[in-house]
Amino acid sequence: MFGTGSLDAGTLFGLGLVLVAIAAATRLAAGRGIETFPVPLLIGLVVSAVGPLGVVRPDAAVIRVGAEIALVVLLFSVGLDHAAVDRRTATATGPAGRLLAVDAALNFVPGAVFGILAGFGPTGAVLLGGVTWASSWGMASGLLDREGRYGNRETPAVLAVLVLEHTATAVYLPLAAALLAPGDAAARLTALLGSAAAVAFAAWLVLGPAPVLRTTLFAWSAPALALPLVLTGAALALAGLAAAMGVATAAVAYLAGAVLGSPAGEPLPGARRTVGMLRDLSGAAAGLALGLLVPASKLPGALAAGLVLAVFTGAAKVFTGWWAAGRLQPAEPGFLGAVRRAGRVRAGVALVPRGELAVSLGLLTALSPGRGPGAGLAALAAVEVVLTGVAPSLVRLWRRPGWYRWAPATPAAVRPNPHGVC
Amino acid sequence: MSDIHETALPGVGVRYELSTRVGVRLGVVSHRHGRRDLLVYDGADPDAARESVRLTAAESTALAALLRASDRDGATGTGTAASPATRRGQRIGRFAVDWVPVPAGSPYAGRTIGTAGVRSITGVSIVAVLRQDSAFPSPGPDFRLEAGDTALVVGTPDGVEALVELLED
Repeated sequence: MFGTGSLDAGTLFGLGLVLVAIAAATRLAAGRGIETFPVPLLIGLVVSAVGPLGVVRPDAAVIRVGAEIALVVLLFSVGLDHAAVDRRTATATGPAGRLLAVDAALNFVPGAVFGILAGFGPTGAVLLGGVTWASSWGMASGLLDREGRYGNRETPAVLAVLVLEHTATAVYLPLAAALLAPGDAAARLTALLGSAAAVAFAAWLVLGPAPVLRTTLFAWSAPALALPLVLTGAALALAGLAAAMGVATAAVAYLAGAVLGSPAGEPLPGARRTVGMLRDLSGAAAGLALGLLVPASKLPGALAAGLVLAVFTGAAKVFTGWWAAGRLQPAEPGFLGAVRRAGRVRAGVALVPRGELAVSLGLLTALSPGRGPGAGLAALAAVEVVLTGVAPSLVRLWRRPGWYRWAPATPAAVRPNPHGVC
Repeated sequence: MSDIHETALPGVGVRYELSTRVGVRLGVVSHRHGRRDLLVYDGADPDAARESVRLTAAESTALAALLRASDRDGATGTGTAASPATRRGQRIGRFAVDWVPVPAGSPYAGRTIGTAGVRSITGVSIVAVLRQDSAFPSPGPDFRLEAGDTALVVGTPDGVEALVELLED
């Protein structure tokens, strides 16, 4: 039959339809003020759940390849787009170590315990802990931007938590990804050591030549087309090198992004939009891939367990934000006092959505069948992302007057009540 | 001069707040890439910004120029030549460069720069003096100021303001 080489008609048509459906759903969600990051994942889950629609179901091999590339690029651009922790900046909420400890205790531990109870084993527990732990930088900062909350007094607490989690993820992700290494325990140990070495190397780079690297790279990629190509190419090449050396590719991608993204120098205009677009596209592709890779049989169980998990982890994040905002020191002593209750709840709610890291861990698990907890954990991660991402938006939407009006998302229309707790 | 409180927003930029005399709190969030958010806080919930207006770098420059142009408009009312149209002050980093006139009837007309104590009182350096059509670069402490001179000064903005007031009364 006619076709474009090895892709058959069903795959092409199915993928095309799915992408258009994602665009339509994203438009619908954005118009209502609902987070758009979980939308591709939701569509993927729906396609997976409805089952093979015959001719329009995309081919599994194509999905896997797309998933691997999307994962690498997503982790690279998340690392790149996110400011590395500055030793000065996280001290607004007190010692950074204490904030990190509270955050991990409240959010990582429940996920890990849930993983053990669900029978995922120690690897699964570590991975599920990671899924429930890190808030989504993209969704949280998008929320702050849309709602005009950069001026709010609880915002430094939100940002401090996000920045700390980003840095901690740079240590956690290589180790967690190494647990999924193929082979026996010795191979896994090698992968773990390799990951630890990669983290140490990245730390040295950040403290040393990273600003020079970054400026050179962005200056060299000045033409409009060069920058996304260089970034994608660098991510894939580093991933390939990592795979050849037996180190987890996802880990190297994230570390490379974090190293290049460390803002020791001036920010580079123009590059930011490109990096943001790269992050959004790869995030959508990764979410879609995760949704498509989750087998339909796992979905009902994952939904039930995921609902419980999402409630617990949502509450845990609200409490984390509450605690962090309560510890904010005012700029000058005696100036305005501590942040009030509404502000503290706002800080917590902003931190609820899980996103990029959870999707990445779910994809890693789905792409390594038989080497870890498998598709069950991927399904749980997918459900967690969708529920924690969409739930706060829905509550916000419900509390907003006139939600049924089909109005364009102007700032005034979307944010008529800036004093709410949500 | 009201106090400006500065708060770092990690990964985003810096937030500045100040309280006006009428009790309204204003703020500016200075983002890393040139964007500025103009904030107005509310008494009802002091933690939340009631209004957050996003300004591009160009818009914030224009707004800042508008706010600065109404500076000392008839504030002293001494009919000096220091109207906003003729004073071409500039800011370079933390320093201000300005043309400061020595008005007729100034107590410092006829005194040398050294006895006037310009540097010791205001911290400002006079780097040149214009008189009629001639210019005197790098005047020393025994250079005598006369009414009608215009001095090119470099110093902190507060110091320059102080020098203008010093020369006017």
